Amino acid sequence: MIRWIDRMVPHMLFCLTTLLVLFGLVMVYSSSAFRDYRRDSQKKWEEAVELAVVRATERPGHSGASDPNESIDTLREQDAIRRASMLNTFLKQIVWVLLGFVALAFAASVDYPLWGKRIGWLMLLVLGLQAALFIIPANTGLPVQSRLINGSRSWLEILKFRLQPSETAKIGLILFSSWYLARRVQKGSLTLVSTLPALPVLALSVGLILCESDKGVAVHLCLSLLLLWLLAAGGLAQVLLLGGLSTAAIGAVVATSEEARSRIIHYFTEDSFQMLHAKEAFSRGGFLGKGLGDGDAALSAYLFGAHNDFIFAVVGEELGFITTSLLVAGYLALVLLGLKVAAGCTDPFGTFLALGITILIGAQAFLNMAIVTGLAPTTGFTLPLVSYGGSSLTWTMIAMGILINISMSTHNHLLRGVNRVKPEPFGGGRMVL
Amino acid sequence: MTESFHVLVSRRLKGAALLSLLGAGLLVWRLFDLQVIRHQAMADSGRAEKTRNITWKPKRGLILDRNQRLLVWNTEQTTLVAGPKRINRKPAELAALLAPILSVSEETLRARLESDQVEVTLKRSISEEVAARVEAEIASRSLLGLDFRKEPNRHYVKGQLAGQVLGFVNIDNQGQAGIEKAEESHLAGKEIQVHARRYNDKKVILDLDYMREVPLRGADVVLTIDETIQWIAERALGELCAEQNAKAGMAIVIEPNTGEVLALANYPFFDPERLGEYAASGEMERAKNQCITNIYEPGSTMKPFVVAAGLDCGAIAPDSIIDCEGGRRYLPPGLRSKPILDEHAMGRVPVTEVLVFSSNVGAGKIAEKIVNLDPESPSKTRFVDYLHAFGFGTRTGIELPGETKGLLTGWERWNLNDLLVTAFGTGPVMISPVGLAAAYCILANGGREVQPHVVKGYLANRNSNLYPTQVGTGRAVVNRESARLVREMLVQVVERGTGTRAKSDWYKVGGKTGTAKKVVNRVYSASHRALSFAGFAPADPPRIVVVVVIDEPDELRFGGLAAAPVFRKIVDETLAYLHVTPDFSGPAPTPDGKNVKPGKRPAGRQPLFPPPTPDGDQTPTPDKESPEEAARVAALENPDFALGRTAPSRETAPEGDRREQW
Repeated sequence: MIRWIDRMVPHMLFCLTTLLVLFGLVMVYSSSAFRDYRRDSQKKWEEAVELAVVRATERPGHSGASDPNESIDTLREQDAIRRASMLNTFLKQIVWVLLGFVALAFAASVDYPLWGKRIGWLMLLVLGLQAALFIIPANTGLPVQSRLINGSRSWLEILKFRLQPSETAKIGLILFSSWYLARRVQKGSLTLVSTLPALPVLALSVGLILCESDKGVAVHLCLSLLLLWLLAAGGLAQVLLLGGLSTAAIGAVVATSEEARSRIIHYFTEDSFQMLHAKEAFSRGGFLGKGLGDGDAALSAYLFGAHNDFIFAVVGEELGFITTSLLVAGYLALVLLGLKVAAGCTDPFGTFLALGITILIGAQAFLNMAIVTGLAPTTGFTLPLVSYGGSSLTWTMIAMGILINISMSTHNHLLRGVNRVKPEPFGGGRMVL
Repeated sequence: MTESFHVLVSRRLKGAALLSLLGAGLLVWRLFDLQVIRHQAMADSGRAEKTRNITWKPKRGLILDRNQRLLVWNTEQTTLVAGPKRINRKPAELAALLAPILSVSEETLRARLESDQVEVTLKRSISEEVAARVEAEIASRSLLGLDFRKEPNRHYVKGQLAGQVLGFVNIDNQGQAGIEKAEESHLAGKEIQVHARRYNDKKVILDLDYMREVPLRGADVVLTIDETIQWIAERALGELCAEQNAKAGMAIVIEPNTGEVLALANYPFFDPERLGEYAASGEMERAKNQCITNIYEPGSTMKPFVVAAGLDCGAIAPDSIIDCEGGRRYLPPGLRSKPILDEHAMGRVPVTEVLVFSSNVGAGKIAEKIVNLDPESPSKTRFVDYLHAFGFGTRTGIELPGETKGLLTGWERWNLNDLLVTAFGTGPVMISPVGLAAAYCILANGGREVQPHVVKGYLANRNSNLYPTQVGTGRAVVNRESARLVREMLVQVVERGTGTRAKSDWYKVGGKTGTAKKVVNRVYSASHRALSFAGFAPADPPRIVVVVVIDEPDELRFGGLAAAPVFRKIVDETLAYLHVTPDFSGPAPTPDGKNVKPGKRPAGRQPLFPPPTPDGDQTPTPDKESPEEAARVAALENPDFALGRTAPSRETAPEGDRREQW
């Protein structure tokens, strides 16, 4: 007798994804509308207000602000134009969400073993894209160019269409790892030595990501791979090896980058200004929140990335503890469903892939929430499925599609029924602990 | 050692599920801490301690003339401040160093520097030169803790032009006089409160309400004053007052139908930016807007109201004959010892002649006729009601602060003498020049009361539409016909009576002279006189009403001599500036080519103020920095400049010649 809940896993996965994405749309609008509205003259605002405040706070009882009015006049004149621009971010995100659902449908309809069969080409594509980032000159204005934004060279622009190779690398490396681990299992040996040949590929990709100076992705990927290998192979030696390598990589970044060092120092000593604002936002929100669109965090000039990396703080302020804890529960449900899919799959590749995808998305979600609540040092992460950002959303949706495909596949005994068909014994494989 | 992959994996996956449950639990605990516990703490603890409201004062609005030419502008002044905790010298040493530069006493500076405030003001509104010297001291002695702050200040672009109307502000940029005071609420704008919080004693975070409530800038005030007409009036007045060494002079140009004041000139002139100098030399009287604050006996300028009242109530008819008793009327003993005298002795004459030759006896007779209209019940009230309606004994309600109420009291106890002297404008009746102008507007516009005002409207900013002030229409004081008849008589006054010096070569004008002896030490003084001329131009229909009052001139003793020429100058130049078609062809050309005829103008009534055309205003724009400023400079250099090419050049025509010509 097959349990109905097991049969519902793909549906639940799809519904959960949809719910999160729609919730994300609402939050993206709430946190970006006013920001879009005033983006044009934001700098003027800042300067004008700073000036007034500095003067007023320095000299009690006197306000000598006369200059701000010039910028205020300009602001009013442009009001109408900027009112129209309030929807900019929201409309872009809607387009990305629609594209994301197409990607999900595509990934869910491709039989997942195909990814394993074409892994060579896939890895070539992933590494090729990453390499292209450095081969194609940056900011040239040509139809094909790489973009150097804020000192990080992580965008490939093809005819105005932007691609983030590190995002492809994430899913690519998870595919590769699952394929590789599954092969080892099928060959009957999953030892430290047998995993060594995979390392150069992983190291090359992670190294390229580090070269892009995309530290957030690198940290996230290393952590995800570490968790995957720990859960798959579980050998202490492997854990130590991977952990050592990841730590070394992170250490190298921290040692070379002034910014990364200051973030770590901030974490252990005093909150950064951004963190202070994020925490303030959570506290202002209270149990029920201030109401959608009523939050100050979304307007605050000090909370950078309120509509992407720090969207959780906006949720916290506007919708309160009740919604933030529900969101945590939502991601927990996603992780548990993913683990259930992994456990239910009889094919090692499917198991590892489901596990990898679950870890990838779960780790990103929990890390982001930990960062925004001040439990971890600040790193640039988006909240998967909720934050604004096309590349990240598309790849997450593809990953979800693959997960749904695995949950629906013929290799999954949940669908075939435990009672009717006995789970196939593991094809003579051995696990070395 | 060997286990089924499925079993193995599922066990590990249980571990993973446990791990994620732990993570989620940690997160939820953290969220609970942040959102529930700290929210309560945030609400309980004095969040107010960390926050403060900052008052954000918007920039002051500008003041513009009726064609929106700039009169008052905002600039900045420099203030020297010091942080007593940050200075690196002893207060006494620093005070001794700065005292001579700032010209502030050493003790004062020392006391300020020794205070325990965060920041003290050493001197406000310092000049650039002083600022440079202080800066040099700071640089050479490497002083710390001295800062310059910029504070808003007002710049009166046109100098002394309309100085008393514009008024001035105090050091905190608050209006103290004139329009600056009267329109303070509009000019100052709406203050907003910006909520700010401090963290770690150094970082300031704003509450974000300011994003939603954009602070309003003070509204720009548009006056009814026309810069050019104001300049015309001030120049004409200033020339005569300076020549006659008058104590004061006042001139008002007003539009009779709407009550819009086109010019309001006061001599001696007042430059708001030189307030300090005036205060030092005891000349603060200059700041007074005497058109509004001073009241005078109207003298003979009163007579047209008496005639208008008589015509309106039917006490006299246009062709009535008034007995002027040979210019000498004795009253019964006990009422008056001396007779009432006329300058120009007449017998029985028509009403017109009473005005034309300004007969005191005749005016008194008409007043008597009004009182005795109903022989059964003589009523002083009937006469006094007319005076009240013309604005005697009331305020006009002009926006400018400090208006003095006219005098018309105790009329219930008037005897015959009081009635008669009131009829020719002495004794118990007094009125301010602006009140007199408003009263002449009633005659000029056909009998309707008007509200004189100087504020035309407000602008939210330089690009917005004018938001006009609402001025109600007044009630009728006398009927149209009476007003028209009096206007005709007043034209006669200028044609052949006491006011011939007001006669213009270009326009048919009407008006009345006035000579009032001033009360000095409780008796009428023969030498202290207030001379006036009040009239309108052109005769029909009148476009402007002009009132000129000269207070205590040296030589000239009659209004017809002192004030009438000023009136004529103002009328000629103003009407030319307004493109009013001349009634006459002007004086004969002189051999040097001046006094040429003006070019042919389109006939018919034209708008009072034609909208500025794209190719320029009335005044050509010289190649200078600011058009207004340049125009003013050019106008001072060349008097005809501001009047356009067609202005009548009266300065070249000798007085004698013109007399003969007419």
